[in-house]
Amino acid sequence: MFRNYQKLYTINNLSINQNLAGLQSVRWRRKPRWLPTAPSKVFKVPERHVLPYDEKIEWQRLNNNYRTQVNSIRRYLIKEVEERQKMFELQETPADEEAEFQRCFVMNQEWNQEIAKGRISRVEGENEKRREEILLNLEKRKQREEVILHHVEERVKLEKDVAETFITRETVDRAIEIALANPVDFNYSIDTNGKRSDIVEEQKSPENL
Amino acid sequence: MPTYELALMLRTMARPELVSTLKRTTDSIFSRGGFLRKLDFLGDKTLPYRIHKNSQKHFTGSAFVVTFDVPPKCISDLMEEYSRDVDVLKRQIFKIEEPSNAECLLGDELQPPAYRKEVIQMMKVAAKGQKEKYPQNTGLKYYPFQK
Repeated sequence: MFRNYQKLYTINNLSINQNLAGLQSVRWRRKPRWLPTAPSKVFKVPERHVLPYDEKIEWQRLNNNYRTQVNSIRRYLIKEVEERQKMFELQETPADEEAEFQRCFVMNQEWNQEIAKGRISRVEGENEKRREEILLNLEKRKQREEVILHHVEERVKLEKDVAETFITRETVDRAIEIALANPVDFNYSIDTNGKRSDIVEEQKSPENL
Repeated sequence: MPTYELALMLRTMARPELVSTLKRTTDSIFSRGGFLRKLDFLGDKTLPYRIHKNSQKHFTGSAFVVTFDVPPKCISDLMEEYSRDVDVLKRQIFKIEEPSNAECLLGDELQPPAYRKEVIQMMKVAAKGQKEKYPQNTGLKYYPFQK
């Protein structure tokens, strides 16, 4: 029977190679719980474990001591809790409660006042700081706008100077004529100074002078 | 209005037709409140590849560069209008940007690595993560500090 179940609890190497080389055992295998007792163990009665007499007496003594101590501690704690509960109930008259509330209220008021003082001074400081910051930002913005305005004015001035050369609907005919008459070619190289390398300036020879 | 540059390739035509096409092209800029700064003719060019337009094959064209100012929202309209023009083979509009005043740092970059600012910075960063090394000649048979 066990052999039948062994098939279940082993990984057979794809069942292709049936020899033992492909057999891999699963560790910690055990008889499944639903299997009946093995035939060899059916009539086996396990021996009862018997403590020696002395040891048994000693064990009982220790156990009794332990149980007694635990019980006493438990009772003591229960008693203490009950007493405390009684004391608490005695204290809780309406007048006492009111007095306690007043005490807490006054204390809370004091704390609030202390914190309020600190808060007022802090908020004042913060407001002052913020005011300064805003003023500074306004000043910065003014400067920035001035710079931008300056740039814009410069640009406008520049454009006004160049405006005469702009081609409009009226002058486009002439511009087209000029452009068609003078084809340009940007396909040239420049040297490191940005000058065209294909145009060589004529040097005046001494004979021509 | 920003300045734009129109690279224009017109089909090869006789002079009067070319002039009228150019007038038409520039007129669409004027009608949108723009104006031209420059009009350059780059000559009749052989196209780098055959362009097929309106059931015709084109191998040559007249190249123009038009520098103009126009409100930015009109650019797509212009592109669309030129795409419908039968005489325009190719067109593209570029925005002209002011050249940046970048400093030339080639001299610094050509220096040996140890003198380059970037490398010096990198060495500093690398040195931060490393432990201090103590000399080995303490006379002991073992390294007394934590490795």
